[in-house]
Amino acid sequence: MKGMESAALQMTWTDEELVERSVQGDSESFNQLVLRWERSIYALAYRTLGRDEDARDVCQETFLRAYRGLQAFKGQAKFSSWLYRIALNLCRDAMRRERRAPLVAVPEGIDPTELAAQQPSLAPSVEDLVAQAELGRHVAAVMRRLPEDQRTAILLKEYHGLTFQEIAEVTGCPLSTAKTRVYQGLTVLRRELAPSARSLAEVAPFRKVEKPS
Amino acid sequence: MNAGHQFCADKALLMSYLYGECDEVERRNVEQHLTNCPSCSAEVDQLRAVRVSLSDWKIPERTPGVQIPVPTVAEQAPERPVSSRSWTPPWWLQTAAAVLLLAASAGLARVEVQYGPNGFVVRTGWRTPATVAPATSVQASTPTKEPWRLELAALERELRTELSAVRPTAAPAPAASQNVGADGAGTGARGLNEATLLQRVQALIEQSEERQRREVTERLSGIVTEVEMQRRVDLRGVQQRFGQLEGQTGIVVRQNQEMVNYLRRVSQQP
Repeated sequence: MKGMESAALQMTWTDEELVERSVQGDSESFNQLVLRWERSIYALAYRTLGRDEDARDVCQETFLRAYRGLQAFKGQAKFSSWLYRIALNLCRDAMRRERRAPLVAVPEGIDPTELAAQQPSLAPSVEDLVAQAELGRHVAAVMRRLPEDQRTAILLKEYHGLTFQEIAEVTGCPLSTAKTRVYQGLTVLRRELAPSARSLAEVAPFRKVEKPS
Repeated sequence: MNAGHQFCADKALLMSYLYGECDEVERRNVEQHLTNCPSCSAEVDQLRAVRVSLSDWKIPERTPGVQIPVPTVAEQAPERPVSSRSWTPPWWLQTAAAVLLLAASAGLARVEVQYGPNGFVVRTGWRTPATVAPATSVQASTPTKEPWRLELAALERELRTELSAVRPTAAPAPAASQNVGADGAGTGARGLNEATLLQRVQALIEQSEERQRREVTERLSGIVTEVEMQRRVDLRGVQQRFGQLEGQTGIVVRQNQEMVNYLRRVSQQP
């Protein structure tokens, strides 16, 4: 009963309040923070590294480091920004260590079935799913070719909704630089994505095949 | 006009506008400029289209299942008053607990290890009827002719003393009463210590099992999803090819039928 009440309370607490309670020794509060942010950190790591196992490792290590360094977190930034910064540093280490391309166009990058699950009422056809998956893979491949700074800025902006100010804090650059990086990255993507998106729609494998009457 | 050119070059403002981070005045100025500048207007449209394309990049809907090795509420003793710091046994104590658990298991399974001229001989099972009480009183059941039992008992004694020495620092009030009990009858406090320790080891094992189970389930569901998708795509492809084949076969059959009909008509003519 008491546990349920405290769980309900924890849902309403801000990250910073949960951090404060964690520092005081309340491990449940930190668990709450993990539940709140693990998916987001995993997504960032996955899009940066391109592999499920690597993303899981980075995610686990991010929270471990955060837990160990809670005392050092003074609330000078948002807790989430702090987590993102740890995760990005770990991603950079992983890329350096393994000396491989940051984004690998792996088949698991897009799961059409999951797209279908997201829109059960619309029940999109297999053709749509496959075409969308192709497009997603293409986006991943183009993102892979971007310089790391631009890619990170776009990831934080597009998939995590950070403000430019927060991107500047997480990546340690001036505000104007954060904006410039996003702009430059988007400009490259505009050039790379526009023609292929059209051609993909035109040559989508199942769309052009007509059933014989 | 000059202001328009300034805007054309101000990509930082363009970004703020694109992501809705500029103030009301800036937004109005930008929109006014866009109505007069086809170049900037086209650029904004194209950048918006890029943002839509980016939303196609999905990632697996998996929960990474982060595990932080912190003691949970379930692991703490229920009656113990809330202390500011939770107690985690040091590594040597955890190792010792594992050894003790192993020894207890061996005792239950009646594992006998003998060293003789033939080397080590290990026997298990209830070969002979039990003549001594198991578990709690190892000392009583220690025959002097088996030196390993003596060593085991000594190890257990050592562990118990270390446990009772460490426990009071974690929870002073209950541990103090346990010590008093240990000096007297002894068995109560020992039982409690052992029970707590076993409970903890068991909890750790259960946690690990639970984690593995969850991991396996997630992997399995991932595989099932992928296989299912592949099956659907393959099925669709097969259906289409069959359809094409049927179509072609249908045409050939119709042609044959027409030919047969023609031949029949021709052959029936006088």
